[in-house]
Amino acid sequence: MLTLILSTVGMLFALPLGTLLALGRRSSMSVARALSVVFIELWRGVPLITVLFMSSVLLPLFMPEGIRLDKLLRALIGISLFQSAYMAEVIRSGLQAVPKGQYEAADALGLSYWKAMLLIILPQAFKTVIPGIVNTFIELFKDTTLVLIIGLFDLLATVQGSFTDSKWLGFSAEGYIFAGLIYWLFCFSMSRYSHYLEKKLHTGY
Amino acid sequence: MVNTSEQQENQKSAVAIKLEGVHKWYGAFHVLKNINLTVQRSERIIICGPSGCGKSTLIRCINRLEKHQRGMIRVDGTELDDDIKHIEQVRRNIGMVFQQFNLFPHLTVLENCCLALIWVLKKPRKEAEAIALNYLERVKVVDQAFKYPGHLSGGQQQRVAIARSLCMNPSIMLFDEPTSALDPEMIKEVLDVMVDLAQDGMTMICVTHEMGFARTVADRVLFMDSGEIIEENDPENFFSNPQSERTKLFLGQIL
Repeated sequence: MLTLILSTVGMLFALPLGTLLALGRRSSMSVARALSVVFIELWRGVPLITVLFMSSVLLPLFMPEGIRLDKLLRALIGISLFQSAYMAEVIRSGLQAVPKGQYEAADALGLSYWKAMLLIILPQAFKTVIPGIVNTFIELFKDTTLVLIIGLFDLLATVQGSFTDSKWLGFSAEGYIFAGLIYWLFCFSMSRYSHYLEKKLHTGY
Repeated sequence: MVNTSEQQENQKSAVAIKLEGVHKWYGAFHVLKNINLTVQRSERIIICGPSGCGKSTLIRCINRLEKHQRGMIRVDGTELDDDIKHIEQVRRNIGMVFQQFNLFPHLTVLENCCLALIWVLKKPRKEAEAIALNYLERVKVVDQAFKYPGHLSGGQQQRVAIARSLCMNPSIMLFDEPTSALDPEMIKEVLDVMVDLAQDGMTMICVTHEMGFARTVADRVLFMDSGEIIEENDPENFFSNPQSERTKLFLGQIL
């Protein structure tokens, strides 16, 4: 359950945030560009484990007295920011794949920057990078197992926990296989769904 | 319907486009050198010249796809400067057709045409579709309205691109080598549409190597080389009696 919450929330935030960062990095405004580059490179430069540790151990130390964020919430924010940096680069590669003529046609029709992005450029960019986006999602889904390290119990941790139960003694292999099967099932369905989307969105270009 | 007084005022003035002393550089490369050009309303101008002479850059400056660095460009009385409002105003009055069509591949033909009507001119979808179908009918691709651009031939795509521009009811149309990416048998169907437009009194600037088309529709033919307008004349004299050596050489090569 925790696995699902962490990955779903992570995906929900990473996609829009990553899109903004990708647009920022390609923006003609130097401030937006600089901020995006710093953010992306900072978060991509550290391992997720470090991010989780920071969120659970260090962050509370710097919090003002009396304000306490839930451990889960802190982990969620950490994962979302971490994933959005990766997502930004995936989406940026999609933006770069959209031919220059598409930007020009949108300009020539008088569309403003945001309308051109939302109606013309991003739909095409997303379509190109569906495999990359799903790749990132799958990674995120499996990376959620790392929250074990800060004492949050996800699917894998729960399975491991059950091994201490005397009734389940000696069934650890089965437990692991079961957990592995569930992970595989989720990842495989995501991959199938991405294939379906690619087919559905193909318009003969 | 909106801006009626403004549009009427624009219609009154006989000058559609005015360029004065326009220069442009790509880095150290001087693409446009002191371009002076006045286009009257309903005038049809053909620009030709060897590749890399700056002819595409010139018309792309007129709707600010490229920025000029010196000189003045005025379209329907609005000067192109760094004010985004001015740029949007100018772009609203100009339609542009590209060599590579640049239709939006993720939208159907009809959606391609409706998009700017709905999102820029804020028309209700029903009305936008009626306008779009009307122009698609005019360029004879209305039967393809619900297909995606990728399923159309090059000639059909370019006619859709023309319809898409016309939907915005522009007072000026720019054509950037509209038939250069087409198979020979499709060139005529696109040129026919353009001749039709010219006869309707549309102000047109067209970069093309279709000299037959130039003879039929042009009021003036401009010859450019190395970023300069070398020669301009009416088509009759331009083709039969070119003045400069460079024009003669160029015409000798393409005719």
